[in-house]
Amino acid sequence: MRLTFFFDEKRCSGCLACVVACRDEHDIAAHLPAYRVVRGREDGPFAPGVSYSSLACLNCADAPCLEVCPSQAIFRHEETGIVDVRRDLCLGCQACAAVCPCAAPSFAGDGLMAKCDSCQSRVAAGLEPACVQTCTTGALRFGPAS
Amino acid sequence: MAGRKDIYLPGSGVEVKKTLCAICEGASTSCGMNVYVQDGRVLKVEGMKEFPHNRGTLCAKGNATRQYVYNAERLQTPLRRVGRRGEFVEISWEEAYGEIAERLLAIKKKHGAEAVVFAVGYSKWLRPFAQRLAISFGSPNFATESSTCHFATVIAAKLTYGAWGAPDIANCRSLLVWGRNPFFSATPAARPLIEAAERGVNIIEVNPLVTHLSRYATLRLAPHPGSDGVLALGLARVIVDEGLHDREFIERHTYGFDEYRALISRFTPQETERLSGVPAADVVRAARLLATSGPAAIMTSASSTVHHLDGVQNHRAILCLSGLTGNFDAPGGNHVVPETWLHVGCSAVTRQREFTFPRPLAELPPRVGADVFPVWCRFVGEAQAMHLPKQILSGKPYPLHAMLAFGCNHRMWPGNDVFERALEKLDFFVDVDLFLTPTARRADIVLPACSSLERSELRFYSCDHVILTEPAIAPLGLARADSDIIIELARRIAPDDTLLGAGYEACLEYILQPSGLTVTELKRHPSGLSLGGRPGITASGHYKYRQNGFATPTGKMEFVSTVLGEMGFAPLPVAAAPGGDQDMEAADFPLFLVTGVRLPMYMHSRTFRNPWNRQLHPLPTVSLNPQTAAARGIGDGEEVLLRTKRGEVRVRAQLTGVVPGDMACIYHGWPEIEVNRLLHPDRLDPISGFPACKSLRCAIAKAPPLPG
Repeated sequence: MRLTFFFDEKRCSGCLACVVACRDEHDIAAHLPAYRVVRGREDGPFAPGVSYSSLACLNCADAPCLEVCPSQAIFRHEETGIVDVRRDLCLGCQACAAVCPCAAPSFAGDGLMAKCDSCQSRVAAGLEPACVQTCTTGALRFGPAS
Repeated sequence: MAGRKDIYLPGSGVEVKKTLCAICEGASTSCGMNVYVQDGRVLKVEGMKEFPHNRGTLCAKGNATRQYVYNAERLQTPLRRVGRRGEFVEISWEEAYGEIAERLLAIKKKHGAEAVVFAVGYSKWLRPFAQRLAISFGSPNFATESSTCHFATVIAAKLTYGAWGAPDIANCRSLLVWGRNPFFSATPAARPLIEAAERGVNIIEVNPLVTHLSRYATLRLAPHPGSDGVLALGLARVIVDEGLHDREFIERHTYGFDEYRALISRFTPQETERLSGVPAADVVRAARLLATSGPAAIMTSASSTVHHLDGVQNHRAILCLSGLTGNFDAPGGNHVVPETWLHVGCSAVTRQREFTFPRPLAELPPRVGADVFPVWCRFVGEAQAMHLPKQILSGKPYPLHAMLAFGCNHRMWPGNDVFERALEKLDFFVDVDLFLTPTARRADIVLPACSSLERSELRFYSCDHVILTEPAIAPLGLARADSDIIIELARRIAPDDTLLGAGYEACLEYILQPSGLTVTELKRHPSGLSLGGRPGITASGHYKYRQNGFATPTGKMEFVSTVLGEMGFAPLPVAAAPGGDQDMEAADFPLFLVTGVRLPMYMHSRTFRNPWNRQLHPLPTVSLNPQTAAARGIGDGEEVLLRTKRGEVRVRAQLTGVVPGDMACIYHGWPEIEVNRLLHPDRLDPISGFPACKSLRCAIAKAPPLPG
């Protein structure tokens, strides 16, 4: 099984609750990037309103980051398919960032890769990722890729 | 200590406690919250999944609760001013209580109890306790920031129907959402609104701004700011012209329909288009949809329609559409549910009124604002807070000498520099707050209050849920619950009030008594409990006016308000052209300034201290339509001067097509700029006393470079 995020663009209001929930869950200081990124544009499908995207690691089936990581720091949890990083193995080479379609990896803190882990510890405890639970409109969901 | 990732593991030593969010705190917010606590400290928060009000969600503000509660700027000890305002020394609670009691009792003896004002801003949960203290002390002057929020809509509803009716979103087929964007202001309403749209409910959105709701709307009307009343009268004319009104209801249950009919006859679709900017064809379509696809409910805002000089009349014109189409107190329309507690109506009955008013206000001297806002005083059992600065400065009709305030934010007042002068004139000013705010800095004594996580709170919800929280963590430093502060002061300044003197839980038992709920039972249900099916609890029925009439002087729904007529105001919901008093052609001030439109990460001034919130929108901005900006040579992110007749602020332009071309839209709570100083303190609706925050004329120009 591979778990992933689903995003309903129509429902997203750009309320940014997911971003702050991500910071609270992972204790990410305000000057560092959150693992979930929300962007708005006015030329999208809901013009003249703002169309938003809310993006984090999707645990891609053919995750290119896993392929390019020279130190095998990036790995996949077998039961959930969640793509995660062992930061003690990361070299900070940023090869993963170059190939990621979601711009999930960031290197802003200590220079080592940090990314969304689908709130792996919450998922293991039977909970939804923090961003999904807090989503005020139900735009974000999480579940098996099929 | 467990690592962060271990907090969900059994045996981690982390306890999940149930509480309410500390930030917005109101009838449509107050979200249920889980806090993960270890060694007395909150490690993480999340929405309470089993809480029916917010169903596990929290907004961008609520998710930053840890940065609010543990903010380095939290006040942790009582302070007393030494020398100039803003300079303090730490004192003990005993010293603080002793001095407050001594000063207030001396002022009462010399000038009368009414010379002491009791004011509550945020939080709001303590209002009944603070008002009871004021009245037991002998002062009628209890005032809240609802003098600029929500209560004018209640006045409009009471003038027209004798009661306020809540939109029945679950059962309506059409929903008129007028000037409200709960996706940013009250997120628990977000999912119910989307679900309604997905069920096929026709959403008619009235809003000059494009909001998230717009994409779900069957029809969107974008009137000029302040022309809401005109638009509502135009909709009414189409409904009546086409014979779509509810004749039987009007015949049997309304007063003044003929005069109303004569009034609306002026507002043809073409005239409505000319005055409001809404295309005539859309006026016709919206009116037909509203009247023929019922039941139809009306959802309004706490401020957008009433922050105008003729705000109450605007709002009355909108509310009349409900009766006109037979939807008032109907299933799927606007349902009247008597208030249970803290502005929320549900099936439970409490003794809120008896608790709040130990004596009738009529036995006390007239309230602040009684001489200028008699309609307000007739319908709202509080002083009109907008008039406070004026009465403090003028001493008329009687002098005010002291203020005991809880979470007061003087920057919310229009022309707040006037309130600053007034605060300095007071002989004695006490402010209770979590932070040393710009208002608290002007106080003689500042007392540190608890956040909601550190104290108990009783809340009812319109979905028939009730919760009594217990403290999830110990108070920070020496902070105390506002209720405990009120009770301790009552023992000293109102010793005859034995109920307050008996303490918080004794008060709750008294308040809860008719509901059959007890403190003990509520404490056994930390996530709260559902009122549905409880013995002795009956849901409010529909069409109650058929038996009881309406609680108006005529016993009918009043198109023509007898109260407004008696008090010298237009008895019909006559809405003037937007902007009313201003020269609309004046080239100097060509745009409407709209202050107070919500941003999703801020709540008045409360969350600017949270880096997680501030990071999302760091700099003050004014939102402008790209064409408006281009005509002035202003680029996105460039600095502009925003100017009214009263002053100017320097702020960055944010260009966005969601704002119409005739408007400049700015959030009101920025710490760096005094937005409300741009407003004139006397530009108030004479019926409600509400400030006209949403139809002031302004000008925008590219800012010259700063010297140096």
